[in-house]
Amino acid sequence: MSPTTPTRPSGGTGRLTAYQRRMRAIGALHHRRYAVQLTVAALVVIAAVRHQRESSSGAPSVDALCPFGAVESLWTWVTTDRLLPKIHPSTLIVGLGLLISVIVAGNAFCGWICPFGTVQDLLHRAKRGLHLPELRVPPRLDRALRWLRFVSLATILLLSAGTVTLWFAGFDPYLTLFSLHWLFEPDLATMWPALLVLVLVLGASLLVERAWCRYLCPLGGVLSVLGHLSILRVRRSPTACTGCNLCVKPCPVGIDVAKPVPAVSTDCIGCLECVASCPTGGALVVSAAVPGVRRRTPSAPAGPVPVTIRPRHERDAR
Amino acid sequence: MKVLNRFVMPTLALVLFFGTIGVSQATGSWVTSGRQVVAAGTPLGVADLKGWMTLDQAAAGLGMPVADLIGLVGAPPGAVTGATAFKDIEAIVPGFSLATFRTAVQARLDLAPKG
Repeated sequence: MSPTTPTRPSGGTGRLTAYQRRMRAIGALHHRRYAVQLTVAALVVIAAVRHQRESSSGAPSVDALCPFGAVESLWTWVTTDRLLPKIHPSTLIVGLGLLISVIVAGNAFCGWICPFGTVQDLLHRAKRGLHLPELRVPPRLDRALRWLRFVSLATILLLSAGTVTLWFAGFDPYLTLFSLHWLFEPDLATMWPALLVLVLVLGASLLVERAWCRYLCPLGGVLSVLGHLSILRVRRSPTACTGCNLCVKPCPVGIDVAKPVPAVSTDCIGCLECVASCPTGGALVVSAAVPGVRRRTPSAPAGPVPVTIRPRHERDAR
Repeated sequence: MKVLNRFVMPTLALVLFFGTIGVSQATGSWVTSGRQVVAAGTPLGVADLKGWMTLDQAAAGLGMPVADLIGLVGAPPGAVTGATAFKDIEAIVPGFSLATFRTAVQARLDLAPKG
């Protein structure tokens, strides 16, 4: 079906063209995603303000709410049964929650929950509003730069385990921004390295959408590996896909969604922008491999069975 | 092939992530303070001193005698003990601030012989 082919009216969508239905699907996705992202970011800011202003309230620090702290402390915890300073049991719980979430629902944490991802999305929206140009990173360079996430991860883990401190805390742009030390206890003499990293990262995110997530986020490196275990993943059907490439441009992390078969790269942040943008029914879907469930058809092989989640506009058109 | 809503993906991510936190809170496993860690004797730097810490905990973490810390507080004799928390000292010693105290402790540590 062509993206511009008018289709018959169905359900509550009236006489909408395929293009209009696609725009509606994209708009509905944006409303939901931004609402969730802004709510989570607001909760983290409220926690940080309470921690700064009400020191005796027991309000948690941002350290206590960061899942990457669990990764940083893992080696020390396993080998010495102790946590790094500033890491608390809640950090491990948050890390466990993220692990369960990733194994079941892919890396949707990055696209829907991570407050620093939200900040980068807001920057991108501001940039589009100001009509600033997007920097296109050449594909080969892009692929090479993505390995920096693993370099960053390995460096942080080695130094954290070696120094038995939360070494990355002094540079972590998420922590720098959301701890609100820059607001409540500004001390340029000690904070300048962290502030410099933050400014550079936010500047890079203005040039390249979600630059931190694409190239440097150490937690993104971990999730990229764990993503191979995810039950729910965005998958492309090469038989249904018309190769229109409308799914490629909206991807915030620059994945070539139109190419991979069968599953989209584990760099996917589960934002569903590509699924909402796809004008062709069944070409780009979220599907789940359910272990232990067999197909009902006698010829089907044993093993995981795909359960397809289709865009609403596609189901409405049926 | 069973057709589901595509929003199952983020919904599950949210439910599982925050659900894990909710279950840990309900079962009492949600601890956002480092008090237990400090009590276990983790080495501390002056930046790790918190308002809820007692002078005993701070002395153990910093590896210096509690009497030295009490001396740096500048309190009247007997007004402050090792069991006093920093946040309570503010009510005992007018003008006491943890930030200033950290600087004073750092200066004392810098003067102490290394090794």
